[in-house]
Amino acid sequence: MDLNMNTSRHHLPGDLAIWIFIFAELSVFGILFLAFAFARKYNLEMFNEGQLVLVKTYGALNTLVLITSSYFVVNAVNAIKSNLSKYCSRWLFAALFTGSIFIIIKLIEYKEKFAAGYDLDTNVFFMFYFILTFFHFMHVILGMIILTVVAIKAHKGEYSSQNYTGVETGASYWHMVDLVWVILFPLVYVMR
Amino acid sequence: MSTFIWIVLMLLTILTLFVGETELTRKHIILIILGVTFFKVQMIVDYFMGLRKVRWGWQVAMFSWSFLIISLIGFAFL
Repeated sequence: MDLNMNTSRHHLPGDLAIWIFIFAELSVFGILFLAFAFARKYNLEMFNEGQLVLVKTYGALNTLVLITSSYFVVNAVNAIKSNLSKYCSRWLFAALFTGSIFIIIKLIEYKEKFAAGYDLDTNVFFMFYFILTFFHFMHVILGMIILTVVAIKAHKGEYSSQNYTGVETGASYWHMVDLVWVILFPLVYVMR
Repeated sequence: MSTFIWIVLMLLTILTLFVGETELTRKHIILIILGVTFFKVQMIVDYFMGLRKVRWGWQVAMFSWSFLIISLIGFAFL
């Protein structure tokens, strides 16, 4: 069954269940993005002032970090398709390392905001800022847990060029985490 | 190919950061940023997620989601 799915040119990467999950997640993030955009429309001054407090460089760095992490995951999938499970594992651990950088930058950012007295109750802008970014942050954590499991299994040689649905499943989820941040960054940090 | 896409995505991210700081009109800045964002999302969907090779229904679903969300964000900002 796996063999047939993996060799077809038109197979969906990974397990079907993860794609149902991905579309459910994208729907929730989409609603949150639109809620932010339309709340801003009616609180323009508050949102523009709140955005000035954010450090764009942190947002941009985290975008670069997640894109690089996604690229490493693409290399991991390509490695396992060539039956190179050790390389697959190494690329996944590299992706986990870059994911960790994202976590560190985000924690620094949160620490600075809390130290400056900003939290969920400050105003509508900061309520959205914390909800959106923390919801995404939790997805990064979940994605890293999934990638860790996949990386360990790849290291043990449990995947091969004939059986790599698990690697593609983890990869698809991680790319979704990247994709969501690619929209979140300009929406929350840049556009005004 | 994936290395080329990665470099393009990195450069477009830096472009997004700098476009926000330019002296262009607000409308132009938002249109450029949303256009770049839509393109980046499609690159990730097609080349990183690998959906360019799957049945068209999945591609249409992903395209529709990103087009709808980014268009409505544009509507709210402009």
